[in-house]
Amino acid sequence: MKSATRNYDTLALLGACSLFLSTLEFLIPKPIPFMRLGLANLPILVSLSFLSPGQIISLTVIKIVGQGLVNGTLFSYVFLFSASGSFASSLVMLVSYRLLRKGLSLVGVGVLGSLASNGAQLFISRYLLFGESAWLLAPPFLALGTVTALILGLFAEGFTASSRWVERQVALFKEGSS
Amino acid sequence: MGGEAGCTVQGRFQLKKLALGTIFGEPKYRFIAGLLLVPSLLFQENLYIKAFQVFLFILLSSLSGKRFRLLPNLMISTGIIFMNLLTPMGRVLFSLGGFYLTAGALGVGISKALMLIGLIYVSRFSVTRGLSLPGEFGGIIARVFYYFEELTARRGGLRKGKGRRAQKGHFFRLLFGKSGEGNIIKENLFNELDNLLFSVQETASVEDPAPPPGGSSDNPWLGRVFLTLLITLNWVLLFFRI
Repeated sequence: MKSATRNYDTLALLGACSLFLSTLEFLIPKPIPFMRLGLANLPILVSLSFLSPGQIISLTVIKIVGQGLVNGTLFSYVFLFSASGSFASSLVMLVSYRLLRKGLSLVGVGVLGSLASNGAQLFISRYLLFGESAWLLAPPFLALGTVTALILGLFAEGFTASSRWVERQVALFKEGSS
Repeated sequence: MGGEAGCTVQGRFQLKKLALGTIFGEPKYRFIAGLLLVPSLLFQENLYIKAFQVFLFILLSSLSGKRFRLLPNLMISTGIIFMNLLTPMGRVLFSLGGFYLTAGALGVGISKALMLIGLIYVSRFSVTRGLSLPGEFGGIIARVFYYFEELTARRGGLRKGKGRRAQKGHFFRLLFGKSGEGNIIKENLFNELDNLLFSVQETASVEDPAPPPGGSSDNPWLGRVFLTLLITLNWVLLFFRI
């Protein structure tokens, strides 16, 4: 398989995993509207070790657009929340992974990403939906986000350390870029 | 006999689906219609008309085969209305201790909740599986849906050969497996996930076609006329006063 095609294929597979996880998350009842567990960020967290920054952003766009299409929220506020949170999270995870990798595990990277995502969503909710009352949501929103990010980070750390699939992707992407 | 009855029921279902597909138009036009319907909801100030629009969009979404779930919508609406009530505005309708339920805040909350629900269902109605997006990115999105189907097609695995397709239900079994499978979740989760990623990626060759377009129509003009009328109705409602 050609390198570019393989890259698209892996991107598409990771995007599909994000969609699956976001669909799963959509089914879980949530006490607070717009509360997110961030399951769909897992493929992004796992792929930090082998995708380029451009590909990570592409994966984020695929995740956002795909989520909008599958959950039917492409034209809604939910899409705006999803887009702002996902972009903030991906950018922070990318930067922290690249700059602080030696002192930071995927758990730390995930937590930073979650804080960025929730911060962006709180900002949007302050100006679009709830007004000043949005800040009342902040403590439970951020606390829950941090707890789920810790769990997802542990999962991602364990998976990337032992996965043959990730190992193969790392090798293939190195081979493709050299 | 049972088979004949089954065929008849299935036939009727197919016929109904085909008829609705014809009325609602092609994916591309439904998408454009969705884009044009959004402003008519955004700029609508009358709560009753907005509620009617939301009802219409939910109805269209349900008729086009998308599931409607009352509870999540109620929870979202209640959450938005409650959060807006925390900022008192206008005439006081009711007070309890330091809490004032005001007409203005209630109106704003209901309006925002209706808008949110309405936008979700406009989106559900207008975005269909057969929608083909242009360019390279559109191609990747089509591939994403192909893999998404591969990951979730549990029933397909039972019907079309257990060997390869049975792999597709793995995600579900990993997450919802019972008894003995619970041990697999604990012990071999990463291995199972690895196998799933390998098998899905390797069995799906690059030459595999993207999922076939859905919602095509024998008489595209019927769908286009319906969508035009729908857009016109919603835009006319903007100038309607109760």
